[in-house]
Amino acid sequence: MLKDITIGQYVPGISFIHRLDPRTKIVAVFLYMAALFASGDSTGYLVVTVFTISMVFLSKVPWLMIIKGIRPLWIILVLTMGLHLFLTQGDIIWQMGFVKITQQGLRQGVFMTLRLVYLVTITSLLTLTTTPIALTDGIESVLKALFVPVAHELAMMMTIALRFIPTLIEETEKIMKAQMARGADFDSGGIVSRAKSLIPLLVPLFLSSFRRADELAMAMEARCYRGGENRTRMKQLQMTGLDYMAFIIVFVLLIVCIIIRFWM
Amino acid sequence: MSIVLTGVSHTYSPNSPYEMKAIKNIDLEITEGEIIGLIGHTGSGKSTLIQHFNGLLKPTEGRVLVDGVDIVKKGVKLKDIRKKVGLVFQYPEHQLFEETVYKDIAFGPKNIGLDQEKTKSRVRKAMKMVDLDYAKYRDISPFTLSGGEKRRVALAGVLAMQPKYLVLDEPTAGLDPRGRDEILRHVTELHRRENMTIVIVSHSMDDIARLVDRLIVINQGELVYNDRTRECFAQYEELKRIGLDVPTMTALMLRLAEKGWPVRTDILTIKEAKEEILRVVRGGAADA
Amino acid sequence: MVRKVIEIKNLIHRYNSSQDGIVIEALKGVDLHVAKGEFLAVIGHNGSGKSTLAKHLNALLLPHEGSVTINGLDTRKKEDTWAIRQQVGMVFQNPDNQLVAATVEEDTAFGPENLGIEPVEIRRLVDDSLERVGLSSFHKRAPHLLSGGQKQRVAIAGIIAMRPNVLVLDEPTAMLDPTGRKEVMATVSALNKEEGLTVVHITHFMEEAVFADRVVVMSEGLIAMEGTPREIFSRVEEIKRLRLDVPQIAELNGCLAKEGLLLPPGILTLEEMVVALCQ
Repeated sequence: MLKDITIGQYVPGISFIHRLDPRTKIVAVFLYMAALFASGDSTGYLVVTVFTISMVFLSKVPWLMIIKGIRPLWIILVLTMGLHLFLTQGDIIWQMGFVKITQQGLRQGVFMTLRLVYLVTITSLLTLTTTPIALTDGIESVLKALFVPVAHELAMMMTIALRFIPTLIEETEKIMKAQMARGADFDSGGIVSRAKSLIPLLVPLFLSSFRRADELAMAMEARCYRGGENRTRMKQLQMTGLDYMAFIIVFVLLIVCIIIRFWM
Repeated sequence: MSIVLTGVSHTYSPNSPYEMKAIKNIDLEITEGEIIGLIGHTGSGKSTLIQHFNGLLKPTEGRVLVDGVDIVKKGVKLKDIRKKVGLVFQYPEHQLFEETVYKDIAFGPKNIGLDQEKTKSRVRKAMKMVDLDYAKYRDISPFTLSGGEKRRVALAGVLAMQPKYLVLDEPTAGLDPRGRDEILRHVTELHRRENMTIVIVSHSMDDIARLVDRLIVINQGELVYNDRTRECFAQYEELKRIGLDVPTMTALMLRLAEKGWPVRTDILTIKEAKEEILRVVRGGAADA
Repeated sequence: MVRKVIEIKNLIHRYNSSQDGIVIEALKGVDLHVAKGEFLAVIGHNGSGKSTLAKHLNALLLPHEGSVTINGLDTRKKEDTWAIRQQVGMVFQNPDNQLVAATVEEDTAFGPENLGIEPVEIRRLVDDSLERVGLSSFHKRAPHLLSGGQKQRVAIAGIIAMRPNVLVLDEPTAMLDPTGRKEVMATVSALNKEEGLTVVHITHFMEEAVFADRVVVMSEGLIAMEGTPREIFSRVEEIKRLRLDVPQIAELNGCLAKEGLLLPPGILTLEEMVVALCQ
């Protein structure tokens, strides 16, 4: 049934990466991105590739899950590859009519495509190894550390969204069936009639969402909610030796990439 | 004419980690003119079962025939099935969406392609069946109505399809005593006056006891009983085992019988209980 | 003298109707006291004003006239609002619309977190509260995978984790099946009997009012009847005039009395009926 679908694609596990503090993982992803963008030649890419592959191995997340995350991007990947391949000026290695491939183009194309693939791999690894709740907590605390003023509100919104998505999916299914029982047809006709046929679904869904929001707001107030001030959290995020080790590893990666880029 | 289920099973998300067999090998016949109760605790498969009656769900095994027509046969229009079998979901007022009561009730008739005249007469008739004054309610927004009124509008929305069979999933849930009585009175009248075939899902054994002729009991997706109401409630021990109650009056008679009173235990309603107690008390007095 | 936790004096509440700007009086001068440790049931048909009354008990609504005092704190005083809400916990009707977090324990922690309690202490309160409603083993579960009765028990745990003096339940069982209703009632009655928590239980299931110490019947924004369940439910005709029901057993007793079989008035439960008949 629809409600069984889990949000975020968290894959439970106890690997090194699973056990890291969410804040560590979020910051590490940014450091990794910096390293990725710093790399510009084959040595740099070799280092990043080895690192990325080892991370996926360490996380014990099935490769299939990673590939699933990359698959929807194939058009963008093909475009990136194609544009660089055919439009970069340089030493021609292959030509047919006005279509030509240059050595520089090939290089750029491969690098850019790899950059995208690695970017998606590492961010999926973050969501695949972190529960949505831990991720929310992590984002809240990272935003707070950056003095973003609405950090608490953003995190609360994410928490409530996580809580209500399954409920709303269930409700959508129910309203749809109720209207079908009255002869509604959601999947035939042209675009206009299909869009129109959604009104009997969307109106009740919006109304009930507003009602829910209203009741939830009242229930929260009744439980003394008054925004982020003076609020404590039961779960305190805790950095362990593991986290420091992870920081060191990612820092080393970044420095290596920078050295390769600028001094070698 | 009838709805006939033969060997119906339904499995959700087959061949996935979430696979769940909600109903198993159900054989059932609902004959025209009956009023039937369907009981079973939450998660027993009641909702899954009733959605087979009008083809909202298709059996993963077995067959469903509505007036002799197999609902999954090629060329069968599900709209035609849904015209015949009206289904009122739990909290049906949550499906209201139009600006006026009239428009909302007219949604069903319009979907089945009726012209304005016919639609109008259907809306009128449906509103009358649930005691909503046509002139008074026609043009007002359903969202300004009270809970009980909203529910009657939603019920009228299904009645406007003029179904032969009407299936109601807990029609009284969340209403106050007056609202409950009103809805149940309408249901009884639909059966008596309009000669509609009724299947009513309820958690209230007391309501079931005074309303229905026949009772279907399901547990963990399986049909446990399918018999006259009195006979079903006579199986109180088995019902208790699967977590279902018997009507209060039946329970009272059972306790009295346990205490050695010579009472009949197949009592369902307050009226029957009163007569039975008086019979025993007065009979006892006559003996003494 | 018994200590009064809740004191309501001549409470009036008005709503502005959305149409025509008509002012509707939802509460027309309610006087009510609730003693410490009492289990009070409030019954009344829809629109009788019982939900409005409930929302006055923890300052979600404020009096237009009259006053509501909780342990000496006046709800009209802005600075006492949070103290009052900590003392009076509310459980609402729809189990889906009052749970905030994506796991049971996070939700239970929500109230204490708002109060700014130390993390270690919150953990203790959460574990203790879940234990008391019998849901310890569900602490990591997502709310949407629980039954209705379990959701309401999570809501109750979230309230008692705030260490309140009063538990107000606004039709907590209206959307539940019989099993869920029994679960919730058993939990509430244990909290009242064993821990002395004051309970105000609003319901339209008469069977639930039977177990209260006192029943208040609301009608048209006023208190129409007040007394022990026995007193209230032996007045079958009056209750029916107020668009309510009496429990089946009480109704049977009324029918038997009409036929001349006079049993003691105020019989409410099946067991009492059996005892009365077998004498």
